[in-house]
Amino acid sequence: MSHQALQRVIVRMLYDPALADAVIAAPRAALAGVDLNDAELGWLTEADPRAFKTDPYRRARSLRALLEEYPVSAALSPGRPQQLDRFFSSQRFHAAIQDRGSMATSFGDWLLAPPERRPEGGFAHPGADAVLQRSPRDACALLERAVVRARRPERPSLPPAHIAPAPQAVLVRLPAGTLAFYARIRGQLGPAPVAALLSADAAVRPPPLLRQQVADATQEELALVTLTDDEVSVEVAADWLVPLLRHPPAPRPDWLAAARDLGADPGEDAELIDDLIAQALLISG
Amino acid sequence: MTIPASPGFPERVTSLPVLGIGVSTEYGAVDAPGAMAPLALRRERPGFARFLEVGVEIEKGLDAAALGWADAGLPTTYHFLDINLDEPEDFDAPWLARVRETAAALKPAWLCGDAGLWHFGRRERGHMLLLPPVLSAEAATDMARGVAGLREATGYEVLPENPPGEVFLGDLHLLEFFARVCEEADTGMLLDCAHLAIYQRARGHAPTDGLDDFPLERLTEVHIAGGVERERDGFAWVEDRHGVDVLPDTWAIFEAAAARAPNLRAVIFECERNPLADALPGFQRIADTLRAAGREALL
Repeated sequence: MSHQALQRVIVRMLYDPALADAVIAAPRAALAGVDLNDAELGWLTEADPRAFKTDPYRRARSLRALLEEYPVSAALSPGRPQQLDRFFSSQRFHAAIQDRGSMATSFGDWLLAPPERRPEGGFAHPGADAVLQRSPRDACALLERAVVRARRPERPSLPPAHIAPAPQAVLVRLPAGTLAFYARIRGQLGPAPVAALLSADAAVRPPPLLRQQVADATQEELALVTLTDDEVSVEVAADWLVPLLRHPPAPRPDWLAAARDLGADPGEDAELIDDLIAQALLISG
Repeated sequence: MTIPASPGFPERVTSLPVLGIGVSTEYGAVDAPGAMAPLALRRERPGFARFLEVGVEIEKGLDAAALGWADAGLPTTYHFLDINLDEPEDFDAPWLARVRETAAALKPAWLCGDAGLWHFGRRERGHMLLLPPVLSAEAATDMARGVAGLREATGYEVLPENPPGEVFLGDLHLLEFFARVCEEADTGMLLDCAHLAIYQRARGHAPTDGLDDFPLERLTEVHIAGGVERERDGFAWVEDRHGVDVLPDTWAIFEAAAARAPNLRAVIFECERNPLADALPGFQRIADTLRAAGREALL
């Protein structure tokens, strides 16, 4: 179905005028790796490049939507919002559109990408999986990306009588102190964070002590982000709960055994698992 | 044993109600400054609001205006705003379940809506837009499969509508594309006259080019709406604004459709965010056009 690939290219061109110009000038080179046939490439070159540039506010509107989901990361980003607008010209954005991905998740990935791919960065990238030595801004981006993921649960296909961690319950490892730091900055942004971010005189004042604690953290904290009835909550994950939220999908008896491993008595094991299902922390097939 | 063939659209269309002239709405439209209330239009000019076309984005649901209309037992159509008909991944079970729930509340005469790209990727905040389909035979086949699939999944007729746009790619004329969709899905069509006018101008055609070759017996509903001529860096296009100032090209298309579409059952003036008084001349011209075309059943 290459017409769908072509339509996604059109979306990318609408967002990225530089891509539109490049495609119309040399479509095969600009779209290497995209499965389009010769006719489709020809249709692109016949288009008027100005037709892709009729809406100068498209990026700004989409950035507003992203700022709603990443208010604190954005507040701590230098040069916002202009620098954040670069996302729409990034490889991550284009890959998300072409591969039918999530723009918000991709924006989080972009915020956390190595600085050489984000010229406005200036922080040390500690590696894909490392949590400690993240900048405070990155630590907040990790948290906000986890919220984005909790809001977009992808329910796994479960066989009957199987149980799995709920996709809207997301565990995220953070440098110790991140939750407190995040709450302070989020509070400074007030009830309308996007408006605050876009106002010329808005500036957050990261509390220096908390900021330093996150930057220098030698310990991690594990946050649990949950979505219940469209409400997101974030809290430090209880130690006993973590193994269950990391448990692979399995038949119910395996879960009862896992509960007993945590100290539940026979009888309590079923009660515990059923309670977690009722709380939407686990799902059953 | 022989299995009776299911009736084709030429038979099915005869059981669809004749709705006449109606008005559109979508979530929150009545809250726009000065916007008309559909029930107020019906009280003042019942012939201009015989039915309500409710634009539905499942994530937003129905607002009080739509629910009030439906609760009064008045006729509706369900205009989807959130399905990419040519993307099989878009037909997920939770969405379909909510479509059925919403349809149960509205009791629409049929489902309809732009057959284009309503969102890129999954349905998410920030992913919404509306682009026309790629005008190719392959895309028409996929679109037709989606139309038939939605009809099967909901039990309602599904009328694809031609979307607006600034960029139209493909080797088919838009009307040729939709003729193929209608034929392959065995369905009727909602012709948006304003959107067609946008396309014709963008591609350098006269307003009614292609209508002679279109199977007008499949035309079941039409839309009329005002548009605004724009220009940027020397590039001119028409923006679909749902205003009350309807372009002459749009009227020309409507006049042709009113005169030549034997199964036309519904006409919508898409002007939901405008004051009632401002919209009345447009409604009146629609009624006059139908009368001149001998379509009293629609009045």
